[in-house]
Amino acid sequence: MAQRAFLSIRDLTKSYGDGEARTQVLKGISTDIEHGEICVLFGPSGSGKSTFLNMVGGLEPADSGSIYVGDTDICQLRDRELVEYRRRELGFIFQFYNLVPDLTVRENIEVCQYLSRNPLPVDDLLNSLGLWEHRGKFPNQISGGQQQRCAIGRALVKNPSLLLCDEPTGALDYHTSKEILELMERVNREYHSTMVIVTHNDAIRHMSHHILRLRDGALSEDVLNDQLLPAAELTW
Amino acid sequence: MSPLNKRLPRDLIHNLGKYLGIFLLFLFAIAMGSGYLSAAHSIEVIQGEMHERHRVEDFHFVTQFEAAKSSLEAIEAMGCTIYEDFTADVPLAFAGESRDMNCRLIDQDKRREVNRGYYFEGRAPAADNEIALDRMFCKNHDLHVGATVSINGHEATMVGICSLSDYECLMEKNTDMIFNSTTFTIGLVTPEGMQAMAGGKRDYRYDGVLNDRTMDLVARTSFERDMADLLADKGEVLTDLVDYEFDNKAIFFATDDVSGDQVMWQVLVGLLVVIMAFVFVVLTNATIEQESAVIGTLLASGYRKREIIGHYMVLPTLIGVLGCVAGNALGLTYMSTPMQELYYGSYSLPPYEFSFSPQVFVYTTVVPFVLLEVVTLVGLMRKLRFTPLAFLRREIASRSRRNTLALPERLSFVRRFQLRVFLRNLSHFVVLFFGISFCSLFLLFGLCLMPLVEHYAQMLSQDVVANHIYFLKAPLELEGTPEQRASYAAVERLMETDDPLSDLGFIGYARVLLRTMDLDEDAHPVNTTDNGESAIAQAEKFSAASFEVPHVITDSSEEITVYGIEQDSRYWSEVDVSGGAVVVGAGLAEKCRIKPGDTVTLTDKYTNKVYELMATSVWGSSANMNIYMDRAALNRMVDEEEDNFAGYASDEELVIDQRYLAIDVTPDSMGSTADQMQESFGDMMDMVVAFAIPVYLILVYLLTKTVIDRSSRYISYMKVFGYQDGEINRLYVRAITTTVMVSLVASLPFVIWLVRFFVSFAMDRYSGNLEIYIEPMLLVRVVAIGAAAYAVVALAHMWHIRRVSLSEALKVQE
Repeated sequence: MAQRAFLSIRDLTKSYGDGEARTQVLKGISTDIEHGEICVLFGPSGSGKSTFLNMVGGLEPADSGSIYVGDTDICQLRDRELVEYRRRELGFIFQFYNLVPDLTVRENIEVCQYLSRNPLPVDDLLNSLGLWEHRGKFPNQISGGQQQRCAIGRALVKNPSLLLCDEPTGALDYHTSKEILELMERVNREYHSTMVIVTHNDAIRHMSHHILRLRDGALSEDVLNDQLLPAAELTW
Repeated sequence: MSPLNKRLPRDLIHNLGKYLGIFLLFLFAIAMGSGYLSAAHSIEVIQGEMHERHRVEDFHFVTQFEAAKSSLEAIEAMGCTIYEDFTADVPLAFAGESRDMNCRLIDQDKRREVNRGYYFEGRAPAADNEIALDRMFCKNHDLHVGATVSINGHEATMVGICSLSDYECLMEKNTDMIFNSTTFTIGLVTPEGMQAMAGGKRDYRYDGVLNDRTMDLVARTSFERDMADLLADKGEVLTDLVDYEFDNKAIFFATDDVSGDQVMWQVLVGLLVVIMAFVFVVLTNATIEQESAVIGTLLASGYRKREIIGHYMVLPTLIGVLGCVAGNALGLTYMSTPMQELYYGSYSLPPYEFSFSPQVFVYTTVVPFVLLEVVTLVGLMRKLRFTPLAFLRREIASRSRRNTLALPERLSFVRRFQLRVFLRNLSHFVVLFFGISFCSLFLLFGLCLMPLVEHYAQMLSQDVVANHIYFLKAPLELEGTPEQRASYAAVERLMETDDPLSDLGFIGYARVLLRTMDLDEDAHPVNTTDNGESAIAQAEKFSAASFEVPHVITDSSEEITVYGIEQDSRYWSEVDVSGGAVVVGAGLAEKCRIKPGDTVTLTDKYTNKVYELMATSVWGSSANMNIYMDRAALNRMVDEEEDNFAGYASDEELVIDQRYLAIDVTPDSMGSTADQMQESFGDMMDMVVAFAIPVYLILVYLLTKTVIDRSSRYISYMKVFGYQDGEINRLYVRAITTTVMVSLVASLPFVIWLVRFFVSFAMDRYSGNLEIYIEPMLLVRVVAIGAAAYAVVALAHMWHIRRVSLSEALKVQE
C-alpha cells in the first residue's frame, strides 16, 4: 500500500443552506499535499477557497469525505480533539493579521509560543522576521507589512507542521507583499513547514510546489510545479 | 503564566473608565450596604442584650391614683415583681429655648433593679437641685454637663447625660406617631429632687418583671390581661397597661425601626445588585464583541475555550475582589460612624459595639461578587458557544431584525442615523432605563420625605379643631361653686403632702380635713381654679376611648381614638353624629380600607372586648386616624355613665388642675412631629441623595460608554470621511442624550409607583396615615439632577470621541 501524503484529502464536500437555498460549496475535492510543500490555492471569489482552508484548519466540519493530516482524519475528530489538533499542528496567518492590539510584537508571538511543547526561540524568530527593533512596539505603531510579519511569527513560533495562510498579502502593497512572500519562502526552506496559501495573486504559483485551482467548488487544476522561481524574482 | 495575561495591565489602563466604574459601583454598593447593615446588625445585637443586661421591664401599668399595697401584692402572687416607678411630667426651660418642653422626672433610686440607665457623661444626681437628662435631648439642644435648667420653676444643675433602657426612644406617649427628642426628655433625679421639683404631681406607674422571663408574647399578654382584671377587681383604675414588646414604643420603636430599615436597605441593595448584574452582562457582551477577532484567532490557533474564559475572567475578578475589600474597608470604617448616627442621632441607645454578621457579609459582599463572577462566566460561555470562524467573521453579535429595520426616508439622515444608533444599542438602553429608574428612585425617595412630613404635619394641624384639646386623666368639672373648689383644693393639698400632720400642723390639717367633708363623692371633682364664665361656656366636653383597629395588609393593628362628641358640637361642627352616625377619619379609612357601610371592628386591648361599629361617613384630612360618634352613645358602649367625659375642646386657654390634666393638644404641637421627623430622617435622606448621584453617574457612564466603544471604528470612519467632532457628537452623543432624557422622564411613573411602595413600607410601622404626596417640583428636581449628572458623562463621551484616532479606520480594516 502506497504511503499516504502528509495532507491527504478525499471526496471532500461541503454545502450551506437548506432546500432551494442550498449551495454546494465543495463538490468532492481530492488531493494530496506532501510534507514541506508550498501549495497555493487559486480561485475566483465564492469558489470555496476559504471554506477549503477552514476545513483543513478544523474550523468547519465537512459534510463528507476525509482530511488526513499525517495519520489522523481530522473530519473524525471531536471538538476537543480539533482544539488539540490546532494547538499542536497548525499555524494560521490571516489577511488582516488579527494581532492582539494591547500586546507588543514580541508578546503577540509569545501568545502562540505558550501553546507549543516545542516552540521556536522567539528572539531568533524576531531577528529572522526583521522585527527585532520593533519587538516592544504595539500593532498600531508598526506598518501593515510588519504586522503581517508578526502574524507569521506568531503562526511559526509553535513550530507547526502545517501553515494555513488566508490571503497573506491581500492587505499589503506590492513591495511589502514581495517581502512577505520571500519571508514565507525562507520559512518553508528553513523550517520545512507545509504551507497552504489561499490567494488571488497568480504570481505566487511560480514559487509554489503545488498548484490547486478551484472553480465552482471543484478542482479545475491540481498540478505540481517543477520550475520554481525564487520569490524575489516574482513580478505582477 | 499565559502571555495573554501581559495585556491585563494595559487592558486595565486602556479601559480604565470601564473598570473604574465597576470598581466604584462595587465600592459604593458594598460600602453603603455593609456599612449600614453591619451598623444596624450591631445595634440589633445591643438592643437584643438590653432586656437582660439592663433588666428592662416585661410590662408596666399606670393607675389613676396610687395603687393599694394589697393590690400590688395580689399581682405579685401571680408570678412577677412589681417596682414602684412614679413619674411626673413637668415643664422644662433653659436659656436660648423658647418652646414649651416637657421633662418626665424619674426617681433614680427606683431604677436600680429595673429599667436601669447608663451615663455617657457626668454622674448621677446627688442633691435635690441636680438632674441628669437624656443624651439625645442634650445633643439636640447642645446641652452640656454643668448647664443650668429650670424644672417646673426650680433651678437645677445638669450633672449627667444619660439614657434609660426603657426610653431607647423618647416617646412621650405611646400613641404618638413618632418619638420626640426635641421637646421631651426624661430627667433622673434623687427622691428629694423629685419631691422638690415635682411637688405632689405624680403619674402612678408600676414596672413589672415576670418570674419567668422566657414567657412568650402570647402567654405574657394573657398574663397581663389577667392582671388587669385582678386590678379592676381590686378597685384600681388602670389608665395604661403596656407590654414591653407588644406595645411599648419607647422600647420597641427603635428595634422595629432598625429591623424595618434593614429590610428596606436589603431590598435596595438587592435592586442595585440586580442592576449591577445587568450592567455586567452588557459590559461582558461588549468586551467579547470588541475582542471578537482576537478571540477567533486565539481559538483558531489552538487556545482552549476555558483558557480564553480564564483570561477574560481575570480582570472582572480582580476588580470585584478589590471592590469587595475596599467596599468593606470603607463601609466598616469611614461609613460606620455616619451609619451608626442614623440611629444614634435619633435614639438613646447604649454605647456602640461592633458585632460581625456573617449574613451581612454574605449579602453585601459574597452575593454581589458571586453574581459578578457568574454573570461574567455565563456571558462568556454563552458567547463562546460560537465557532472560531464566527469570531473571526465577527458574527457573534445578535443580528436582530431591528438592526435591519427600514426607516422612513422622510426622516433626515441625522435622525435615521441616531435611530440606528438607538436600535443597535437597544439592549443597552433597556438596562439604562432600569438603571436610571433605580437612581431616580433613590433621588426621589431622598428628596420627597421631608416635604411629605411637612405636609403630614399640616394635615395633623387641620384636624385639631380647637386651639386646645385638653385630655384629662379623670373627669374634672370646670363649673362649680366656690365651696366646691375650696373642698377639692383641700384634697389636692392633702395629696401633695407626704406627712400632712407635721407639714400642715394640727390646726391646718384639721381645717383641710373639714373642707374635704363637703365633698360629694358621687359627683365629678371640680377644678380648683375658676376659669371664668365665658371661658367655661365656650369649652366643650368630649369623651374618648382608645381601641385597636386591625390593619388590612399586615398582621398588626392601629391604635386609634374614638371621640364621643356633642351632636351640635361647636368645634366638630362638620361632623354629624346624630342618629347614631359613626364618622371615620379619612386617614383611618384610607389606611384600614374602611368605606361608609363597612363594619369597623374595635378591640379594647386591656379587656380584649370587641366592639363593632358601622361607618356611616368619612371626614377629616388624610392624617385623621379618629372615629367620631355621639358622646352618650360612646359612653354607653364602654359601660360608662352617659355624662362621662375625657376632656375639653376649647378655643380659650384653661387652667386645669395638673393632677387631672393628661395632655394639652394644640395645632402648633403637631409641628413638633414634623420637626422630629426632619431631625431624625434628615441625615438619612441626605445620605440617600449623596449615594444616588455617584451611582447614577457611574451607571450612566458605564452603559453609555459601551455605545461609544462599540462604535469607535465607525466614529473613526466618520473622521476619515471628513466629519468634525461636533458632527460626530451630534450623531452619537445626541442619540444617547435623547435616550437618557426620555428615560429620565418616562421612568417617572414607574419611579413614583416604587417610591409609594417603599414609603408605605417604611412608614407602615408608624402610627397614623402618612399620605404619600409628591410635589411636582420634586419630579422636576429629580430630572434636573439626572440631567446635570448626565452632562458630566456626556462631556466625558465628547472627550472620548475626540480621542478616537483615524488609524483605527486606516490600520485595522476588516
